[in-house]
Amino acid sequence: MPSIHKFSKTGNNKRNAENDGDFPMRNWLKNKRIKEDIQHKDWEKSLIKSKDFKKIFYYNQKTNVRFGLTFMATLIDENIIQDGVLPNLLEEEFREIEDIKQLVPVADVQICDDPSLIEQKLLNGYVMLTIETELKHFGFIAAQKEIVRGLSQPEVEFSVIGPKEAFVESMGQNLNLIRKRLPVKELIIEEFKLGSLSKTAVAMLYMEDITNEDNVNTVRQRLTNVKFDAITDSSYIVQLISDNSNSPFPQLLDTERPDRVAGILAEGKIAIVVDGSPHVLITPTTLVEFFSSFEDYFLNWILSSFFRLIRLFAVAFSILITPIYVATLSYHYELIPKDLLSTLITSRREIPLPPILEALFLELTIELLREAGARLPTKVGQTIGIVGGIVIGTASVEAGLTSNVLLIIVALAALASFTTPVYRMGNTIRLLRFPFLFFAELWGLLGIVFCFCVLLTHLIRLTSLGRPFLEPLYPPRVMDMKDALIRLPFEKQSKRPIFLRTKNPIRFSRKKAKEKKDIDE
Amino acid sequence: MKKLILLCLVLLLSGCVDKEILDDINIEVGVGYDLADDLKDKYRGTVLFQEFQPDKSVINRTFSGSGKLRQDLLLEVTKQSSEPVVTGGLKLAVFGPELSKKGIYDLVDSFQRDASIGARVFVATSEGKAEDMLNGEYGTRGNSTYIYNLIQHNIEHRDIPKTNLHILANDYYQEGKDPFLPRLKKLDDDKVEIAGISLFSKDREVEVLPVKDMFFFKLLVDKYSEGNFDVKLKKDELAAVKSLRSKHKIKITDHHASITINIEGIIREYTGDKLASEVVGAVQKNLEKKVEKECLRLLKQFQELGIDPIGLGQMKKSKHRNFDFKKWEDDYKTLSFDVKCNVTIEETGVIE
Amino acid sequence: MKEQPVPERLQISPFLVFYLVMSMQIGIGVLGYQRIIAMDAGYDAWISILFAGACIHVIVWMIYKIGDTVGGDIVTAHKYVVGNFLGKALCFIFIGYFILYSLTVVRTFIEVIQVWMFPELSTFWFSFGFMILCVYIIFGGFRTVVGTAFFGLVLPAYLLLTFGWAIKFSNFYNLLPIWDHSIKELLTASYHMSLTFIGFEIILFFYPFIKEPKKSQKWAHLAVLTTTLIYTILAIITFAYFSEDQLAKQIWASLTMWKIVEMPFVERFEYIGIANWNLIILPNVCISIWIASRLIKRVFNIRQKVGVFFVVAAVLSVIHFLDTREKINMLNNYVGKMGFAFTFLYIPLLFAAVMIAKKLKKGKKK
Repeated sequence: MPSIHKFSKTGNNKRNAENDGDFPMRNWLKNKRIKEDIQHKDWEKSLIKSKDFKKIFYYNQKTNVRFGLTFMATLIDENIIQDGVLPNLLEEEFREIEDIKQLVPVADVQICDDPSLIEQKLLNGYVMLTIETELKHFGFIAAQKEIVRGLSQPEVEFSVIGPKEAFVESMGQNLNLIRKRLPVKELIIEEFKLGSLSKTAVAMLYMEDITNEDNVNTVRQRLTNVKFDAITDSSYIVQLISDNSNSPFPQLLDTERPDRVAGILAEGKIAIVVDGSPHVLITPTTLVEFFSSFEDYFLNWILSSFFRLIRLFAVAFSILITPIYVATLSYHYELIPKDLLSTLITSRREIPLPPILEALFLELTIELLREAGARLPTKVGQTIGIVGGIVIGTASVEAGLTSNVLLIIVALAALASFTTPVYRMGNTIRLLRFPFLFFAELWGLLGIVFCFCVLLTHLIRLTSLGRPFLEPLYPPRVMDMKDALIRLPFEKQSKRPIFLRTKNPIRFSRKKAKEKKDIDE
Repeated sequence: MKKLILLCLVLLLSGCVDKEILDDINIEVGVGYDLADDLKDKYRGTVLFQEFQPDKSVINRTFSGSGKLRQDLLLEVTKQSSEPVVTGGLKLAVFGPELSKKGIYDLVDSFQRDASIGARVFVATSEGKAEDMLNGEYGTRGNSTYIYNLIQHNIEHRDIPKTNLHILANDYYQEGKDPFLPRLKKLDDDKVEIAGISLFSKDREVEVLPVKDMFFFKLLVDKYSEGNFDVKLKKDELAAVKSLRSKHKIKITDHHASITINIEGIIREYTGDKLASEVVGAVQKNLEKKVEKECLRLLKQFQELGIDPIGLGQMKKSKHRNFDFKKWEDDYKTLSFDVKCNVTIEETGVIE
Repeated sequence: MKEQPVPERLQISPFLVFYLVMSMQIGIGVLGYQRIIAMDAGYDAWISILFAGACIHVIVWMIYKIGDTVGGDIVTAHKYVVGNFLGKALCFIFIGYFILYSLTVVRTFIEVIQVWMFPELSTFWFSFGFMILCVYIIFGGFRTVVGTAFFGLVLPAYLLLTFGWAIKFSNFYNLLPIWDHSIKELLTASYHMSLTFIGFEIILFFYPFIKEPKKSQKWAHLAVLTTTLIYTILAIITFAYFSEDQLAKQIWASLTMWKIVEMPFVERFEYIGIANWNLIILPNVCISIWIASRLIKRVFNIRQKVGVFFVVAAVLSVIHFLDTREKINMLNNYVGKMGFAFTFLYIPLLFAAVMIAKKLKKGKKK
């Protein structure tokens, strides 16, 4: 029960704890009351230590009722109070707490009598209204200040054609972008508050009559089971609700584009929006989705199929080419075509290091360049990146530390690994090269195949939300292949992906969409 | 997860396999065998290596040694070489004349047993010692590459029939067929030329076909072939014919073999005035006659020598069940032949 | 132990049986079977292959009949016929059979590597690493094993095309005249094909893991047909490529055929082929270890994970002692004979027994 203090901001309300040993019952009662009192004032005690805790009292001009406004100054939008709330409260007539509902022009006005809510509401940007005459009830007025970064272009998933809106940190804004694109009643948004300290709002979105119930239940259950203190980004959620957090492969896709989220919701997947993060998570997902950029849907299907295949080839090339170089030069000289043999031998003549060390040296150099380039501020970073790359490359060839053939190979492999449209997968590809290098050094070509088997098994075992990660490659679903490695035209994509086991697998009626006409009709 | 760590640790502990790092090995690219001078060794072998210089030029280096087995040779060579010797790059094997006459089976078997030697190795005989053949400076890309390319494009476009180590082994083991090899001759320190075809009876050389017979031989042996030939017309005019495609059909009955050869070719060069259609017809007829005459002569020659490089025995076997090769050997001596040839000249070049 | 039905999330779709059977059949025998069958039937041996394939279709039909009647795998079939205890005891032999089979496949593969690629490769450590990989796969459940079989068939499928290079140097007249050997010789060659061909009997062991088993029957037949065709075509190409006496000396004819392959960017293909072979035999080993450990679980009631470790330990402890060509050859022959006995003698017997038992039970019911 909050007590109203006259013109005092500090809450020094200490009761003397008398130790009355003669009357244990009385002591117990006293202590209990002290505890209760202290409990009730705990929130004020710690909040008062913050500079932005404000408590101001006003008199209503008409009825002379004294009321107080308590709020955290950094969280509220002063304009709402100044222009909207205060004039009405000061000039209009109000006597009781219930009146403020009609007077205050803010939508979210609540009247509560539960003191435990005070702390939570105050810290969420509500203004608490207390009346001198009313001790039990108090009102909360929503006056949150939203500082939002303006809509900008997507950084990672930039597309040349297509919409260039990207998510921002505010959940309200993000949900607005999504709702705008799917203005149907089936789009359900469920909200959770996760994180004991951060109390981050996390929303789960799905289409009611399309998405499979099991998937929804699993996500809901996993989200409610999250136990962590501060969740500041969606990546935390990724790691906390992944099927297998030991795997380098991401099992949830994240995206910055609202159009992509709208697309996948229509397919029957589930989106997770985290307040404070411009990345929205998508689940369940499969391996092939990490290699498809959303731009594929804006281009003609032949072009986009071709580009997807190039991307897949680039990824395979990027992972395998350096290990193949190491294996071939260390063990299998017979494989090299005789014309290339002279080039390779002469390029390696001066090198004191065996191929594996040479390759590791170059790989690590490229990783260093990448890491350094990521940390330096933009202007300095670009110069150092280019100059460093060229200078280091040329100098190491001249010094005889690496061969120029290997330099080209490693540079091409690095370039090829940048083609993955999803940033998370790009990092995984970077990492995958090293076990292959290790196995190539150990057993040559046989080692590379062996490592590939290990990788394959890992992928087969991996699940995303309980669904196999390698779908539609394994278990092979020919129907789903139409949007995996290649993309068939929209007329052919009349069914939703099978692996989602959606309630309503048909997107549109194919018969109506396509009517065959004869030549001269 | 724990399993992966265990796997890695285990594999680190396990021994690695022997490395053969590319620039630290001596790759054997060519090998030549002669009979050894003294009798206690059987062979004198020459191993050809290629050393690549930083400016991409090639130095040919040869090592010679004697021994009873091919492995002995390699051992001797390894004793002299600064880097380990590996045989996976072998492209060329040359046999000297005396060795060819004595028998090459052991060496061919040794090539087959070695897992690192490929099947596209070119095997050839030489007119001088094989050691001298390999000790030269041919071309700018190394001796073995030079000779390899020499034989290769002569097979594809000129008059050497298809041959390589696999075909040699195939023919050797095949009953009813005898192997043959191209014959090389060293002209100068920097030139090698094709000097004919060595015909073998099992694994011994019995005869050398001269260069002028190679065109006909190829027509008989290869099912589809390309080749070149000069046709003499009346009035001392010559026409050079390049055969683009040729096919042969062989029919064997009990005592008679009839061979039909179809050639489609173009006229490359003509020493007369005008290449009218009668001249083309004359070229065709003359070529047909020449082919028939020469092929018949060759067949009779093979019959006398008792060898069968065309594989008539093999073809006869494919028509009869329970074929008896012993009986065939006698039958072969009394076989009669007839050759029929059809030539079509398609084009005559850009001018008439 | 009571018959527990396998939960649906562990079961596989019927068409995956195609990949399972085919990848189990194509294993280590493909590399060198041509010489063995040509020993008896000469270049007519391709007829023997077709004949053996036809027999296998009959056996597969029998297997499905057995599975359908008893509604389960081979342990269930045994129990149906001879009761609980004896039924379990009979399965004991199969545990040994599959352990031996996986041992054979691993050792023969390592031998191929040791002859063709790395003579100094340590048998024990490589098989140790290989076994760890197999354990990782089996611990992922039956679906992971089937996934390995799927990829172990689909990814190396391009290797079939590489045999096309050999056609350029082949002479198909080698095959003529057809039927130059007696029927007895042809049948002997069919018998020798057994080690290469066995693999389809695994259906008996994972029957309860198939969703709607009846639907998978046509896939199993298709798999056997495809394997037979592949073996026949490969044998024909081999016979055309080698002369008879030459083939008699080639221990691994398929690998020697790869020596002639020449591509613009690869000079010698056999190293790539042999490395890829790792992917082909991986499902063979995994499936046999899975079956052995599952039988252990059914017979002795030990957890399957423990059974896997037991099988792996058995393989690893014995593999070191197989160090010569003769010993490996002997093992291959032995396992081949066992496989033949199991598939062509035991399964028809079991089939007959199940049918008789079914009639008796029907009679009893009435």
